[in-house]
Amino acid sequence: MHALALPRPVPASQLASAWRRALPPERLLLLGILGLVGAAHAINLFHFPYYEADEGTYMSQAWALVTKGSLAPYTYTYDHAPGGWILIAAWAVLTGGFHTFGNIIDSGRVLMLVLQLLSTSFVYRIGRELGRSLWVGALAALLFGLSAYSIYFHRRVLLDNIATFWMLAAIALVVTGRLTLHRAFLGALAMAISVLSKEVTVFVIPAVCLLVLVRSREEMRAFAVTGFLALVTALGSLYVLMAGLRGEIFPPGTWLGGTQRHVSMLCTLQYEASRVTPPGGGALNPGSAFWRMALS
Amino acid sequence: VLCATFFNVWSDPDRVRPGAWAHPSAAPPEVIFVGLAVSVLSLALLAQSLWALHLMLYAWQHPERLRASAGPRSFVQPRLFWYRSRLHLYAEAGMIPLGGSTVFIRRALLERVGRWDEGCLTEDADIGVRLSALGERIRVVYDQRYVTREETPHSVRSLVRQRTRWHQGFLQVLRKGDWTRLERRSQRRLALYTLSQPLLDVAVGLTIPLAVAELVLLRLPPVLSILTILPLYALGLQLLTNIVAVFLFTAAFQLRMPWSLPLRIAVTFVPFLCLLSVSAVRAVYREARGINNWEKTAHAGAHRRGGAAAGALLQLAARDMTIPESLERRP
Repeated sequence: MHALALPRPVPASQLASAWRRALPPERLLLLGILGLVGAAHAINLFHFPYYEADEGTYMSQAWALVTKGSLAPYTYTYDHAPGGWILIAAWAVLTGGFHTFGNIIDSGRVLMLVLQLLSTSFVYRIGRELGRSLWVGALAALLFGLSAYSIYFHRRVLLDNIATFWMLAAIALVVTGRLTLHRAFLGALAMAISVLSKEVTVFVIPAVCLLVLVRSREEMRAFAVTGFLALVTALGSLYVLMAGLRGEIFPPGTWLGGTQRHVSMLCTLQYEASRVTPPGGGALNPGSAFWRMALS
Repeated sequence: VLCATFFNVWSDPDRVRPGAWAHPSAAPPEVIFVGLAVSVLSLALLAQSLWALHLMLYAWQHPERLRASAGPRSFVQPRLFWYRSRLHLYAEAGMIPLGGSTVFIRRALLERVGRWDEGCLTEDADIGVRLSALGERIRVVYDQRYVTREETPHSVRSLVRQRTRWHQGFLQVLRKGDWTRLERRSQRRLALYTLSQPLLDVAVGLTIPLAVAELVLLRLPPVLSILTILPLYALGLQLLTNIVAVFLFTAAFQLRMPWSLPLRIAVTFVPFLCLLSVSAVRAVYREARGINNWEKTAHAGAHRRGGAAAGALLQLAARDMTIPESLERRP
């Protein structure tokens, strides 16, 4: 009757289980969340919100790195550590230039979309591990991805978004599964890149270190914690080392700063610290509003 | 058409600011070339340091296999890492240069492998490699309740002699070539790395002053300078790991740790590495000249008077050898 031996059809139940193995419900849930968050961020990405001046600054610094090999188109003044625009520069090189997605800022905004998706999945992972529940992860990821704050700010080419991405990567590395020394050290690497992208995440280091302390087993705890702190410090110190090699740590006119006119890391630090709002109240001024509030 | 991306123009009578050559585009090509060469060396050195760090810390990630650590007191850290961590990695890889003490081998196996090589300065490493080449699995068991006390060199002179002997022994095992009969390529690679440690130590000894000299004398672009400094960072991490290990060691054996010990380790770390390098150079020289006498180290017997604890290590050759019941029980 059957001249041709047809391949036996795969039973429906087997097909379904193969699907389930490839796409377990949890992965489906995460894909759904990422789809939603991705759509919310991608729609009208290039037209809302308006192009901020800072976005142009960082893109031009990435451009200077790729085309001129310098850290800024003009004199680099140590306003921020260069990790953020080194990443943007790498993105531009990998995607075939600064105009692949439209104008130069659009190119940066596409990178922000990619980082937003990765960050959202990190938030999901962290919530899932710490809350020991799928729904905690899902809720955290949705809040992170769909809040008005994130729709407005995470689209922009801002160093904060890059630093946040690396910070979340560090936390996710430390809280996922069993903490091995490799994971702790990779977490330190991510944390250091985060600080080198925008210095503000330096205040998260103690928290991540505490996570390493709590989550490592007793036998390796000493190595995990000291190694974590040493790696973050060592990698972070590369920034100061770079300034030192360029002869730009101390301001001119001081003992170590020489007499030539040049920019200096310490001058910029002093300036940035005094720039806090409300005006006149910087962290370096003991009589400032910040300290009065902190000490009251 | 001008294609260059950056021009530097100085007219003849200008006094060029000192240090202007440090600008990336302004360094002369030969300086850049030397800098690149040193940077490549430095990266190799960095990779080797990180791998050494991995070996030091390997078994601390697998505490379920062992309980605690041990090693002699002065010059303790390298031995501690050898027994506590590296040997476990070697045993799992199926390529193990055994330790010199507390080794158990069945007689039949000893006959089959051809006994110890009496002409080799590190006969323990030699027989370990030959056992591995036979495909015999070797179990490393570790328990601090069964420590063997080991004597350590009591002077710099005897330390250099001891390390010369070990280094030369490894070179001998390397030259004998039994490791080429190991089954897997990964095993042969590991053996080659381990046995050529003396040569690596010579390279490390030469590269560090080179990197420092280059940093001071050549005014390189910052990126290249940073690359050449990275190996020093890796050395710093190794130093820190050593200090942490001493804390763990003294805690595990309820030894009193002098408050100045970490400080002394920090101060003597680089000189200690230099001594290892000197020993390695001596070993290479002696092996090349065919000098093979045993520079015996003096014994003071301090370890018998208590205080110092040494490597607790049972290496059980052969698959079917059973572990004493008392060792299997874990508290």
